[in-house]
Amino acid sequence: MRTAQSYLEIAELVLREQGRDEFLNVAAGLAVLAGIAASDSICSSRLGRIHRGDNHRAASTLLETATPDGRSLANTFRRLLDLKDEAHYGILIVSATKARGAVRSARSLVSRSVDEFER
Amino acid sequence: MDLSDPTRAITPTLDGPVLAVLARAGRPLTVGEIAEQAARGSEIGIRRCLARLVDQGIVRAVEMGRNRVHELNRQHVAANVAVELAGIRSEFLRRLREVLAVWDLAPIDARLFGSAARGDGGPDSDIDLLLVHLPERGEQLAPNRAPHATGFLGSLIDFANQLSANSTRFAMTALQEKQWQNQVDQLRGQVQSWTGNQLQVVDLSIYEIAGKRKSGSELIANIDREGIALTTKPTFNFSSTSTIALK
Repeated sequence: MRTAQSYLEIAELVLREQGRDEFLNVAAGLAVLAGIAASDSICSSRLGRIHRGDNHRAASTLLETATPDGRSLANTFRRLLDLKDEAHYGILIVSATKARGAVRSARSLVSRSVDEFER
Repeated sequence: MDLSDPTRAITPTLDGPVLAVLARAGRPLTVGEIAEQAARGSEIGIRRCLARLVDQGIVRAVEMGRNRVHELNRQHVAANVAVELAGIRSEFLRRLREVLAVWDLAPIDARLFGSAARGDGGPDSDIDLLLVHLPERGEQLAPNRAPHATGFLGSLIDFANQLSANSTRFAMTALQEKQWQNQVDQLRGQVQSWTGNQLQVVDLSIYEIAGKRKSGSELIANIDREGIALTTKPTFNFSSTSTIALK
């Protein structure tokens, strides 16, 4: 959960920087990492286990089963994962709108992981 | 599902790909020709498989000159199963097109690309889909677009230029942005239930795809080369004062 929060904090910092277009990719990439860590944290709190391996989409299937509103959480997570390759590998320059959306999605997942941790 | 050989979803034996090849073929084929077209199987394995299928009557073997050729016995009561096996991939594409065609907020462009389009993935491969939608609120067309692009990108750039010249009334509303997101989320679920595979969406606005070419050229070139179009070219009513008509 702390890892997720840290990724999110840095993502928000980078998002505020306006020096280069690539910062948007970095912010979105960090938001994706925050989302992955938050998803693991929610699964760990609720199910006592997390998905192991690099296939994060399989992790989204686990997240779907973790809470009563897991489907909605998993959809948010999957939208973030769609950005993963785009953001990490610079396949495309992520737009400001999309980077902001990614950070917003990550924020909602991280916030939820904190709630789950404190339950 | 393994989109390089969807028959695996039904049978792990060579009967699946062999029957699929024979169902697609419009003429009798030699063992070598079947092996060449089949998604898997050695020539020896395919020969054994054919002998078994001939015994069952679903495949006919005929001597043609010095060659022994095989064809699907289309009168066989099980022949339709072979035809279905040959059409699994087409059925997947048909469903995608059918769903996209009835979206309330139609995509400007939609293309299957990556391993699913090339047919060389595995059972765990993601299904890559490019979706292009109307500009988002406040979005502007970036000036660094490639002016001489050809292919599907060229058409999209032309369209982006027309949109940009027609003021911002063609941008999606907040409600439409949410609606678009819901459509994409729903499609993810549908594709997973149809195939067992996860859908990976490259979801771009028309201004995004038309505007940022330098770093995205490789991805766009791949989509241009191997992409399978899932939408027909939409008609646009630029004289409309309301939201753009996309259907």
